[in-house]
Amino acid sequence: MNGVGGKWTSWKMLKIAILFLFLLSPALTLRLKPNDYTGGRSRDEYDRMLRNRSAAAIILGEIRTSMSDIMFNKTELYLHSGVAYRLNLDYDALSSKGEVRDMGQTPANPNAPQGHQEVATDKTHEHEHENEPELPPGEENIFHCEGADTVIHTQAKDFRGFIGDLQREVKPWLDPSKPHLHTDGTELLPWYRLMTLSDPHYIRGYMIGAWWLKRQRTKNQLEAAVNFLKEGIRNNPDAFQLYLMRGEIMHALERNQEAKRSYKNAAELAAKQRPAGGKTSARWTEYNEEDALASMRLAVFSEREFGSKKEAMALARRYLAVLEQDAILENLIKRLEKE
Amino acid sequence: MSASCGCMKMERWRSLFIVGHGVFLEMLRRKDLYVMLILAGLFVLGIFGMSIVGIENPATANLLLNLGMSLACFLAHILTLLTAARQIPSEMEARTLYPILARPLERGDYYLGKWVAVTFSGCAVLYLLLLLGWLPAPRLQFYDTRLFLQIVVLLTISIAMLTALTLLFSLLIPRSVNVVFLSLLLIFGGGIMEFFQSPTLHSFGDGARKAGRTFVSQTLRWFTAYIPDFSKLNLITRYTDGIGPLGGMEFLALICYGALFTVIALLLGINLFQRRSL
Amino acid sequence: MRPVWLIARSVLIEAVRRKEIYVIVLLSLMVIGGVMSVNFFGMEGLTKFYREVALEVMSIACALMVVVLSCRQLPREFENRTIYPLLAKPVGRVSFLMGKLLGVLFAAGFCLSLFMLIFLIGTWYLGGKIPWIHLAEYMYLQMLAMTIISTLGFLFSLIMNLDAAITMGVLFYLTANIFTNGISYIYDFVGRVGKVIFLIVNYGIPQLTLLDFSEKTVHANIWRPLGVVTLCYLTLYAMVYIGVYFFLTMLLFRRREL
Repeated sequence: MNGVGGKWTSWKMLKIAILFLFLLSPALTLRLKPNDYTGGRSRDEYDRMLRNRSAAAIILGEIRTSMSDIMFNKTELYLHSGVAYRLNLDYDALSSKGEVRDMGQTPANPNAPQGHQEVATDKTHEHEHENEPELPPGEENIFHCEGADTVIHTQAKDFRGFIGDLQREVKPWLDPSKPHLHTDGTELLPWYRLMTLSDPHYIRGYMIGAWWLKRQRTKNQLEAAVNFLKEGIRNNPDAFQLYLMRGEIMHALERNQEAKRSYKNAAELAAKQRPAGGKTSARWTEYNEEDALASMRLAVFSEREFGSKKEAMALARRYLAVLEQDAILENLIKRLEKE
Repeated sequence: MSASCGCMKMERWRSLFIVGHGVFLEMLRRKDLYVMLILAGLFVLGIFGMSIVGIENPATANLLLNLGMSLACFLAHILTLLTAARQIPSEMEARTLYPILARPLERGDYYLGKWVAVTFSGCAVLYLLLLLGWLPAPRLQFYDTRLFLQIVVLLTISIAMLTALTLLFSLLIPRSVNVVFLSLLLIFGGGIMEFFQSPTLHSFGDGARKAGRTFVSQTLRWFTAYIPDFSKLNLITRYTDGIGPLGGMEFLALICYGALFTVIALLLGINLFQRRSL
Repeated sequence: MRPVWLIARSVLIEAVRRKEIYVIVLLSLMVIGGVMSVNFFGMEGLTKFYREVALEVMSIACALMVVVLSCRQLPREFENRTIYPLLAKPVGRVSFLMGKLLGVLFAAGFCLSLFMLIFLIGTWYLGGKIPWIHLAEYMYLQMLAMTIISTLGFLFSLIMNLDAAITMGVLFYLTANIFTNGISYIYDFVGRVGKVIFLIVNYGIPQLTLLDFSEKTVHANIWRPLGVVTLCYLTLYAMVYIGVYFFLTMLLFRRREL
């Protein structure tokens, strides 16, 4: 009898112990983040571009396992008003300069429209087509002719007959031989917000989101961009591009001292990360190199304008040593020496 | 005395086995195998399709591997959820529960037997689909085998945890609500936890307002940790990202995390089931 | 027609009384509400995101409800043996099936209308413009898609067990886009025999993506609504498959021993 009673008590004690452990468990479990790591193939931009251009990705459509990949597709779709092209957008250009450009496009004409600075309606491409999109008045749009294929085939290439015709009517579709339509990407902001919430290490999301916010040119949105980048920097302290972007926005807000500090942080990080000779590769692209150059130059300029010329000279010399050769910094050093 | 204790243990195991066996027979009778075959067929179709178009580069192979494994994990969990959700309610509806409990079978043993059987079948589906999702994808980059083994272990625990939770909720809420609620927890739970526990949520405001908010948000963070987060036990993306395996302590901690939730859910469930008037 | 209407009415009442529709609507409302409550940098008028998420959630929720409801109709009647008194009355099997189909469609319409109401309230709250014509066309095409799914659900439920039927129905809906992209893309890679198979598959299996007008609705500020001719073609397309699946269901149901 005592044995049974004893067994019952120890079982009860065990249950209480387990409950107690459970109540205290958040102290441990909140620290358990096995999926919180930096890097990884899913975040690599080059890998992302390769996999999202593959046949498998085209067949899968928008189905992906990571939010940032879904974003990749959404950006393409929204900027092309829903038309699904075989992926072509140059994301480096988009995140670095805000240019909406397709890969491989080299504007022969330097006056060719870039980004969303100009309204361009090429009259030679105007024509009537039932399925043509209707441009709302005042919307800034860019037309390009790249001949990139759409995911939905043209009638000539489509074996599906009337089913293909119906799909081209129901879905957003433009004949690929006709000009692309790049529309405003402001509506992408919620997606970038969601994406950075689900993957705080997606640096490009912060950059592009901040760029679109900056484009609004209102004080509220500039402040929002600053907060957004602050969050990005907290999650990715080594991302020099975020400091660079922050500096630009601070400058737009006329908070020059803070801008100066941001540029300097960007320059220091870029100097550490830049490969010898600025050699470009899949991991250090020409846009990374451009951003690194911009960071260093802006750090020196802003120090000269809003700080001390002596410090500016020291910075210029240091960065020139890193870059080995830069006409702009060399000229600046000469000017500072005269001053 | 020890011999009779030994006999009692044997009887207990036998009871568990009989209940579990009943679950398997029921699944065979309902032809639940068809569902598994349909899902396996889906994978085979996918493999066939990809073999035609080809895999252009390691990044694409990585995408397919991740997708295959993630789909296997998701489908196995959903099937387990559906199987577990109907166990006790359908027996109660059909009134087949009463003759079973009229026998010398403890309610706790009956409940445990159900859990064991559903977990076992869920794991079988998981292993089959995981194999179909993992094996055919070409490994053109480095993937850590140790991490793969850790994934198998943690997903097994995840299935066990899901079964325990589903059985518990099946005693409290209607079947359809149970299925929908746990599906949402499975799919979105990780994201919601990430949101409530992220520094972003706690960084707004200034001064005393921030201090006040910080206390509230810290409390919120603490309490959200009581909600089971299945994404912690899913390391598939870590595997396909080429990241290394978890350290010993972290791996053990995750096993304990899953086991703790499973045990709590089982204890609560057994307690509820014992008190429930039938 | 009266028996058809009575059966349809009973299916609708039962669907409305069961908690599932409300749970699905409530959960979808929570998802949509969650999306609306997140502050996107204090910017107003970002309606495309809301439209896309809301329409996607509504579409999936409605489709899942229709799959489960349609797949359950016939097996449950057999299981509960309620089919016998029903068919003992002067109700033909065709009328019975028509009534069931109509009931499921009424339930789908009810669900979709609830969602639409939520969507409109949300759009008004966010201060966005409502693309009425696009939305009307979207709803119409969704109902056509739900009808195809319903008849397919009936057919599956007579061929396989309930769980397998629901699985097939859900898979059919969720993989619609992959299926369309796949046959379009892979066609160029296969040999002559493969091409013939793909041609048969292309016309033999309904492609639900053709009845998904959500993308143009999301970008309604750019794209015009569909013309009447296109809508007629789409209706005809859907009706062919609905007719075929209904006919096959009827054949199997007639042969089934009671």
